[in-house]
Order: sequence, then C-alpha cells, then structure tokens
Amino acid sequence: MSDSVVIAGAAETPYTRHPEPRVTTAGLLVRAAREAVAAAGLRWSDVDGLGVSSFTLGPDHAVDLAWRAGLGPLRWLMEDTNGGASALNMLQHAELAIRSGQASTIVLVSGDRMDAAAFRMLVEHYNRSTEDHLVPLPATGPNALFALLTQRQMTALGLTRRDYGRIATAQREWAGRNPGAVYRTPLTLEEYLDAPLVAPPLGRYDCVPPVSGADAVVLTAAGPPGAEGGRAVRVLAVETTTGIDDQDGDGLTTGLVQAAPRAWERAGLGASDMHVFSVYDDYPAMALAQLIDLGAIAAPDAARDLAERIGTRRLPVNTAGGQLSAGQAGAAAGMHGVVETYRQLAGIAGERQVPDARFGVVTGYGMVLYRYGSCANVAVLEAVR
Amino acid sequence: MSGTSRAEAAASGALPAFLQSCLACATVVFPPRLACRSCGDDRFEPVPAGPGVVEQVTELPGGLRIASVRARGVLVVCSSTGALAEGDSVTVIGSPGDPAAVPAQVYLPGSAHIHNSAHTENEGTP
Repeated sequence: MSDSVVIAGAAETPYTRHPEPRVTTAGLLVRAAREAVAAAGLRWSDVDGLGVSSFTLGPDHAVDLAWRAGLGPLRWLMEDTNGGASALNMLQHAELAIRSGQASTIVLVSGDRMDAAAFRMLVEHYNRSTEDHLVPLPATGPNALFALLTQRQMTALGLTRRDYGRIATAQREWAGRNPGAVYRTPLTLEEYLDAPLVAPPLGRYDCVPPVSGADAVVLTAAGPPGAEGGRAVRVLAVETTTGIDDQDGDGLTTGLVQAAPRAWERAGLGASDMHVFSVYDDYPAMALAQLIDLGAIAAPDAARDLAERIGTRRLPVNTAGGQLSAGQAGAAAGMHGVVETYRQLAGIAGERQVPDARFGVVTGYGMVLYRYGSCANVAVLEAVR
Repeated sequence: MSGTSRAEAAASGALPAFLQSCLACATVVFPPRLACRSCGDDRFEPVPAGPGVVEQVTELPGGLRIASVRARGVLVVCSSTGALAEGDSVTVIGSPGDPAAVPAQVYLPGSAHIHNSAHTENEGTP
C-alpha cells in the first residue's frame, strides 16, 4: 500500500514524418518503454505492470508485447483503446494499482508507426459510425467535423482565425526548443493565415501532422523524501468523463467540465495554481475548449484573452510543441502531454524549461463517435522536491 | 409515417432518408442505436428525416460541401455537391442528391436502410 504514486521516469522516441521500412510499432513501443525505465534508474526486471495503447500493434496485444520484450512475470496488464484519452485512462487505473499494492513498477507506453497507409486505415475504419455514416459522404478523417465545430466556437466565443493562429504559432515557438519535434521552424501569423484551407475555417496549420513514435512513463510508489533525486513527479488526481451529451450538442463543452472539478477537489488545487498546461490539441479549437473546461478563464468572453496569453507564451501551453508542431504519433498523442509535463516538473525540459514549475495539468480527449470526441480526462501532477 | 418526404425523394429518384425513433418514448436519434438513451427500450422504428436546416457548412478540397443539418431536432452530418449556406432549408435524402433540386438535397449516408427493430432485431426480447 502506498499513499502516493509518482512518475519516476519518462521517454519519448524522436518523432518522424516518414518512418524507415525497418521501423515497427512494437519496436517503437519497446524503445520508449526501455528508455523510460532507464531514466527512472530502474531495471527492466523491476517492471511488474504494463499498460499499452496503440492503433497499429495488431495482431499483437499487450501480453504479446510483454513477452516479445522480455518482460514478466507481470502482476498487472492492460490495453487501452481510447485513442487520445488512452494515456490518462491507463494512468487512472495504474495509479490505483500501485496505491493498492497490486503492482510496484508499471510502465505505460503508447505509440504507433503511423505511415500514410496506417493513417488511412485508421481514419476509414475508426468505428462503425465512421464506416457507415461519414466515410460514404465521402469525407475521410475528422477535419470536416472539426471545421464545423470550430465555426460554432468562433460564433459562440467571438473568435477569429487570427486567434487560433496565435495558438498554432506559439506552439511552433515551443517546438523550436524541442529537438524531438518534427516542425521546429518558426511559423508567422501571416504564414498561418495564408496557408491552404483544408476545410474552412481550418487551414493546414490547424491540422496535426501524423508521425511515427512512442511515449512512455514509469510509475512507482513514492520513495522516501529525496530518494528520486528531484526527478519524481507525484500524481495528485486523475479523472475521466465520457459521453456527456449523446453527440447531439455543439461539442464545445468536453467531459472535462465534469472531470476537472473532481480532479481539482481531489488535488486541492485549481487551474490558477498550474504552472504548465498540456492539453490535447488535435485542433486549436479543442485546446481552447479544454482550457475553458479546466477553468483557465473566468468567463466565455475572455477566450480571446486566453488565446493572446497562449500566443505570447505567458501561459505555458503545450510546451513541447503539442501535436500541432511535434506531431501526432497515433495513440501516443495523449501520452505526449504526460511526458512533457513530467519533464517540465522534473526540471529536465531543456531550452523550453518553465522556471520554477511545480504544478502541471494534462488532459486527454478523443474518440469521435459521430460529430466530435466523446472521452475526456485530466491529470494533476506535482513536482516532488 | 408521413409520406411527404418519401414522395419528394421518390420524385427525384433519390432514396428517402430515415432517422430512428424509439417505439416506447418516441425519442429520435441518428446514427441508429441499440437501446434508447432516454428510456432504455430496444425497440425502434424508422421515421422520415424530412426537411432540415443547415447550421454550419464547410467545403473540402475538390468542392464537396459537408454540413451540420438539424432534422427532426437531431443534428446530422450531410454532404452536397451543390452550394449550401447557413440557414438554408434542405431535403435530407438517403442517396447522393441532385445539386440543382429545390430545396437543395443533402445526403445522409446510412439513413436509407434503418429498419423496424421491434421484431427483427434482438430476437428473444418480448
């Protein structure tokens, strides 16, 4: 039994737009997992729990990966299929497993070899409703759906493309300080606005580049004070809410509107206490929606100010570049924010380090059932000093 | 079942579009479900989607319009090869429509074959 669970180490493989033929999903997952275990100062044989999320690991599953990677015997094993919400879903379960003594060292790993063929397969066969009601439109992939959602948000909050551009260009600035991001060259607001439209109002830089890569974290019970050498990050709260409105709303409110108040209560903190934010940025509109649901602004009419604060990087949001600039590595997209928030709170974020970052919040979002995502979750993390 | 939209659709050679209505509480949904969110019943009947109103519209490279359309109170995702604008009244049909039709026809995939599930699906349910 343990009162406190920490992330003891984390790793992210470099993201690549066009993976070499020899790169495999299983290989990426194991590389990230091994690097995370090493970063935690632990041995591979210490691992007694494994959680995996991947769109392209098939025909293998978590137990196949464990066996092929030389792990075991394991006391705890899970596989999560909830896309952008899978990382925090696994974290929610793993934290309880360690807290209750069911496992002592759990690796959570997410990732995909997401080349053009894998991406096409993913978006064409995402779920039954996509196959039956969206692909035959014909519309493949979520861009059109989130174009419609972004229009609703622009109307509801009085936003313009320029406001979304502040988010995209700021994340590119952060990505310039992340050697693992695929797009690091500065992006100007003019370049953002002049880019080809993908589905109005969405342009090229509102859409995430699919990449190949993997992210992993290692969870353990908190050791004695100072035992982790300042590199441990405590998990204060993890909460999930799915399916708040039956897909018949505007999609501008996510499940975080219910999950976040529970997480803040459990952590004894609020959005204004956070030093670092990692929100699921499949589109800039969703980054804003989640920040609003977290309570990052006092009133809806302050959304433009929020975009401005993100744009000037006074509010540190998606400090590794997010999916928009670092890339969307399939199921790793939800774990990317966990790894980055860990790095910031552990003080190992290099050139992009936010000074004195003690508290951070991560969100997950995903699983478009028909018109927008249905799953949302949130984790509140604290640096162990 | 109202025959109006069926007749209109048939006149244009298009398949009619249907939404799914709960037999017990008359809640209408799309896409079709396995049990009713409102009352939990698992028996449904098709109801014509009928006319709709465009709430938002976007355009994909190549010119296809994708629209969020409200029909019978339900928001559905439709396509059209013709021009659409927010607030337009449209006819929701179950096959690709005629862009020159008035009112404009919008396509709701997977809506032409929603069937009565009271006796054909979920065998064993009384």
